[in-house]
Amino acid sequence: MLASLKSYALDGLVGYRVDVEIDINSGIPGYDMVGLASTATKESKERVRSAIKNSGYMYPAKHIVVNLAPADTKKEGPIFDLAVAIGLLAATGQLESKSYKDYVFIGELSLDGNIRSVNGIMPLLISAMQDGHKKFVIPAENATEASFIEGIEVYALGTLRDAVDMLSGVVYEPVATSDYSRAAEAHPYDIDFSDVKGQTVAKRALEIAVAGGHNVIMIGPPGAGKTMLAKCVPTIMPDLTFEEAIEVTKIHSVAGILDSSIGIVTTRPFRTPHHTTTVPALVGGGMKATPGEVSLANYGVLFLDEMPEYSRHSLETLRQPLEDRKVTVSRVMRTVEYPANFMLIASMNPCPCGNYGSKDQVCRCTPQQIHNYIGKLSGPLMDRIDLQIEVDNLSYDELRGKQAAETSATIRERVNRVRAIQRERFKGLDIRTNAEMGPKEMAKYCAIDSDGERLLARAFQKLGLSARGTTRILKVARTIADIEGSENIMPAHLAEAIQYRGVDRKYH
Amino acid sequence: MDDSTKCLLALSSVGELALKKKHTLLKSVGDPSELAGERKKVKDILGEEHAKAFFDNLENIDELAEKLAREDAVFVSYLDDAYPENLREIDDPPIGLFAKGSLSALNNECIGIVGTRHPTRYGSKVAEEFAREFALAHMTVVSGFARGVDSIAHKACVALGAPTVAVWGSGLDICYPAEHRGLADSIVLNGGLILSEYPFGAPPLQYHFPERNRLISGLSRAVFLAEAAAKSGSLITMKLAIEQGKDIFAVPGNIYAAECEGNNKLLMEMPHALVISPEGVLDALHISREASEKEPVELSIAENIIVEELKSGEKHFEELLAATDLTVGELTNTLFGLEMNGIVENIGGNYYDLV
Repeated sequence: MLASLKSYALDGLVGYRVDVEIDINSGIPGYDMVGLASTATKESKERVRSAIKNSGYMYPAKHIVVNLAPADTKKEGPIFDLAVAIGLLAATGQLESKSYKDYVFIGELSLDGNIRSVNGIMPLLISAMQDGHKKFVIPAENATEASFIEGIEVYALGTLRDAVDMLSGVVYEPVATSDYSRAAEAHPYDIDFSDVKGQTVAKRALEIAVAGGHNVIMIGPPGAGKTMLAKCVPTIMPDLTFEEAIEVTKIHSVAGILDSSIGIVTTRPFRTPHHTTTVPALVGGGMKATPGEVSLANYGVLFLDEMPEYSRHSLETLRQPLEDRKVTVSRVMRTVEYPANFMLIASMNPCPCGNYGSKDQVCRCTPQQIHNYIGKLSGPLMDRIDLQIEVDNLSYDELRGKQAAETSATIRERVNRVRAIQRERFKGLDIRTNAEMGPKEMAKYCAIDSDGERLLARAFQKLGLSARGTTRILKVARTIADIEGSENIMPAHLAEAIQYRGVDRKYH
Repeated sequence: MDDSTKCLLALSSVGELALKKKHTLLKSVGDPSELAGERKKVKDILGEEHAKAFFDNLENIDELAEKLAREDAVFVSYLDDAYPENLREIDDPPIGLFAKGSLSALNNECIGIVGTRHPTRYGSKVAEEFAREFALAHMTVVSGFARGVDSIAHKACVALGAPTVAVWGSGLDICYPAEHRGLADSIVLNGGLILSEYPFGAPPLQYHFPERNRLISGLSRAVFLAEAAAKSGSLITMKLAIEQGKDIFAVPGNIYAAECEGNNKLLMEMPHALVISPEGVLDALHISREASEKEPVELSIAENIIVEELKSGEKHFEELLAATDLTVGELTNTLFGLEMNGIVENIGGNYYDLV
């Protein structure tokens, strides 16, 4: 007998339909799987056999052929187990109902017949839904993740037996849809800007950065609180909208880092790849062309602690995603595009020993060492970082008894206001923030008067800044003007923007 | 070049030859020019190898002179009038010096500035301010061209276009540390002088530096210690200066910083060396300096508060923020204005100080 079932597989973040066909022939007992199945997929043979036996069904002593169509795409992972098992039971007449034809089956089996969770449920279901599929059988553990998708009927089941029972007519409740805003409320950030004492300059600079979509580098000795500050940045970014949350969840789901108890990403991601990270881990790749850190940080923050310690090669690969806000991962069999729309926050010590320019520590680095350390940050990469802020640690006494710091919510309100101004300004353009302005927009929106010109010229001469930084100063000044509610860029805004060129000033 | 100078240049150009031997050799003859004919004596005193080098040099003396000329350097022997008078008075004067730049820089009163190669912010500030004030009082700052205090002192003078003297521990064609090549050029350009006792091609060997130190103190009327750790070459220089009968000065150091221990140790032994301002040094040396009238700048109320705050020492941005009642943006702006007017300086790590 022949049975054909529907399942779905992933290509990047897009799912495509896979038909699982099972045919049972007489002859020498055996099992063949065709359709470019990878090892993990092929091994379903043993899992399916044990699961069927241990669920109390009979495994046929016949020649079984499983075909995964289309036959020319590589099938990865164990997500077809459930479809194969149901198909076998249908083909051997142990499942009499034909209702399985209405469902899409996704799930891995364990030997005892339980259905195990799989990665990528969100993108799989969304793609299937877009293709017009309505009913799904998925692992019970993936229920929450699926509950955020409206308009489909999802049965999240725990065992193979449950699945057979449901298909035979036993009534099971489909997964009830969850409300995103309630989930977001229940899972807020576990950190707040008011937890950071002092550091007003850095906080102000980070507010400007978030408001204008600028990338940031923080320079300061170890222990100055750079990481803490960076961690707080997502909390002042505009709230993650449902559409954004879905987008982020898809990527995290594919990468297998989604918290299945929440089922959706409710906070902007904060990713901190270690400086020994490889290029594939950073931008995506590997055999399965999985998303890298830049994509996991989509709509959130990518934090590179001790940036000069990263290999030059990894840093240079960041240039494409920073420019295009997406990343293309090419492998032998496939080319996948992942979104990579993140805010870059980098940190660095002032020198290898960390004490260069410190108040009371002595720097033991030679000028050559410092030169080499700074030299790791290439010009093109630094050109994409608009703000350079100095962070210094204050002693305990200075931290005490200061007025209460602003909460993230207060700052976020201001950020939202400034973002709204920018949306209005760039209406109809493919630009959302000041940081993304090209030469044309800058000519239009970053005009400065003669006072401003004079100030810039003087600052360049006095502070030894390079002209290369002009564009960045102007963009940041535009954001500051927006924060201050000013139509034009005033000298005061320029002056403040110039103060955020810490690297240029320190090492000119 | 007369024969005596030729002989002295040939002798000075012998690499790695102890100064004592040179002096012994020169004392054994009436005039240095006689050395050319005294093959046996030279061999006995210098040893085979060095004697050979000496006579080789003598044979190729024109080549040596040419090489000097190519590098814009001159050789000054103790027989020359241009030889620094101060050096004649020390125990073991060099028999000749290689020089680049203006020897006239030595005509001013000279003051040595010594200190650590790894100064704290405090040490750097002391070195810079004292060097600047000395230069403004028309003194010539003499130092050792090393990283840290030495180079800060040289740079402070160069910034004012004032002459300064750098005494090297290597040949004039080997700039050490190499990253100071630009500094060497600007010292010469600003009427300063680079001196070395060592011939061309001499590497910066460790034992050269204590020898060089005796020249720094020897050339100077007084020596000033900016910052030194407990075990420091700078303290050796101070000791040499005392032996040479020079005045010594030092500022007190931070009692908690190991990098300042040398200052405090020295001051415990020699309390009279204590100074707390450049004026203190100038007064002790009876050097007058016309008071420079700083142009008064009109300050706003906020600017005034900041300047008053900074009078008690460097302040962090946060401290100024608490003192002024301004917003972060406004304070950043005000500080920028003060910086542009050359009143306040951002000394790194969000700390500000008066210039």
